[in-house]
Amino acid sequence: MINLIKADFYKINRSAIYRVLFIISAICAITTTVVSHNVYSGNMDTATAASTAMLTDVVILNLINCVLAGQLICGDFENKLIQSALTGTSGRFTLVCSKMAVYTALIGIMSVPYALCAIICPALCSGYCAPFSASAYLKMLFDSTTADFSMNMILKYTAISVIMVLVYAAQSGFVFLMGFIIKNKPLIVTALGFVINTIIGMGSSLIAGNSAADKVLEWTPYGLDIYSMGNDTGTFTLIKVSLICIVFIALFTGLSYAAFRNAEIK
Amino acid sequence: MGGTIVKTEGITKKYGRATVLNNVSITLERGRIYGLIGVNGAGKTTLMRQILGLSVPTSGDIEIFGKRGGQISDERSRIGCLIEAPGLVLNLTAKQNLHLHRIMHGIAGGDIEDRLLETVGLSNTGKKKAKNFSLGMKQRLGVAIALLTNPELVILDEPINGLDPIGVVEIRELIKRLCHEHGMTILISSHNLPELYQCATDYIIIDRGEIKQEISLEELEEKCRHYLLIETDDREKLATVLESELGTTNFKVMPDGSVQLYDLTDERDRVADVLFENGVRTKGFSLMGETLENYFISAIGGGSGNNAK
Repeated sequence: MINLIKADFYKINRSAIYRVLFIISAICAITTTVVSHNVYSGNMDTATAASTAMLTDVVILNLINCVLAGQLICGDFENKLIQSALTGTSGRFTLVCSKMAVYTALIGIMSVPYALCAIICPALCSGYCAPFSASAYLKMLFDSTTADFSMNMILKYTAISVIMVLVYAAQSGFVFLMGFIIKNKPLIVTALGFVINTIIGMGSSLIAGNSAADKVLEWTPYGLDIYSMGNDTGTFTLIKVSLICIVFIALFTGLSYAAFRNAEIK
Repeated sequence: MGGTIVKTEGITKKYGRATVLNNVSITLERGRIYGLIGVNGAGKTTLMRQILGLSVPTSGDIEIFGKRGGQISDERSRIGCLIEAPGLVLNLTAKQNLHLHRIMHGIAGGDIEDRLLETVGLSNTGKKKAKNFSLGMKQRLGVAIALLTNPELVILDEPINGLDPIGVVEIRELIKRLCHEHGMTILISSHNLPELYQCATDYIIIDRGEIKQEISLEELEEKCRHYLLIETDDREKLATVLESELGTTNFKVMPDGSVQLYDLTDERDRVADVLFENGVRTKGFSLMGETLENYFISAIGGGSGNNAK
């Protein structure tokens, strides 16, 4: 499995698309942070800021994660690298697990700009607001306004940033699964994944407030509370969210293997 | 040398109602070059994909290097392959593609990349990316990737597709060298029968998902051999004239009394004249034998047996 992961990163290091995605993530993270600071300072009104709502992590990282699944899984079906891996030493389960490991790592890399902005910017310049709900990184920036900047806060924000990687990986688990079902059509996986992710996000917002639905969502990576993790979030909640996400990641890895186990590989 | 490395027993592969492979049983022995011959859609690639684990048979069993069932996937690391198109990342160079596959298969030692590029004639491609390669260059790189793990069995699906005549000769010589010098077993499919004829030691003829014939090169040569069929009542006199007047002993008297003369097939008029001048009365005199193509067509049930010319 290590060989497959190394091979994936060798390929990724030499591919322009992953660099472009990282740059997009960085631009959006910086823009969101700047907007947040300017709204707080009164240099920008909320209506103007609303036009940049599409640049928050919840939208951009979901989109990037769908593109990643398309490239990482379907791209390898297209260029027949998966065939090469299977006819080498790797079994199908090993291959699916290695892809999930690389996928989660890539989500982590793409999240770095948002995490860095949330952790570093409070030290550089104080005063942020969260003009858009459902953004964990903005919530962290907002919390920094009312709390003293300390090592504890840095550690907590780092922990939340790592957990958010698990959250996004768990949320994108079905896109990963779709990659192994649809195989060599990256565009379809990306588009379908983003649309379904958006619908799930909207759906979870719509049913929020219904106590029964809230109780169900609380045990999934789609619960809105996940985006409100911040300085006041307790360790128990952090561990609970992490475990839920890990279970979902494992579940989608298992489902992907089940779909791929006897699949034809063209 | 010797020993079975792949054995398929009654493999059937169905896609919905279509049966693509029907009860296919073949055995591949170590150190031989097998030519898999069949028309488009005959099931060549499907058979190769079953052996490689890229597709799962509907029924039947596969044994690879003596292992079956769940143990097969480990044994597949001893197989190199090029199925349809090679697994290439188009924005990488030839050497980077080999490096990628070397990492993937956990092979130590970087010098193997240069050696393989030299072997397949791509050592001078430098920084040229695979997306700018011709089809033939991609095929060569695919062959190099197939050889990266120093496999005991190499499965090549139409490897000479898109190659120029020089490339075809080079790949053919490479295949022979791999078999003779390194003891590799090769399973190669191709539509190009004359090309297969120049390198394969055994032939597997497949049609509509069924194995029609497994035949060695020696048997095929025997079947495709051209000869003059001479029918006469005076076999002893004929034999004497052939030896004394035409200077050949390369003939065979068949059980039905006819004589098959394997020499002088291009000098039919001279043979006929000499027999006439020496008083050998013939009842039949004709050039017999198959072309490769005709033999193949007859094997798949699309033609008749021996064709008189």
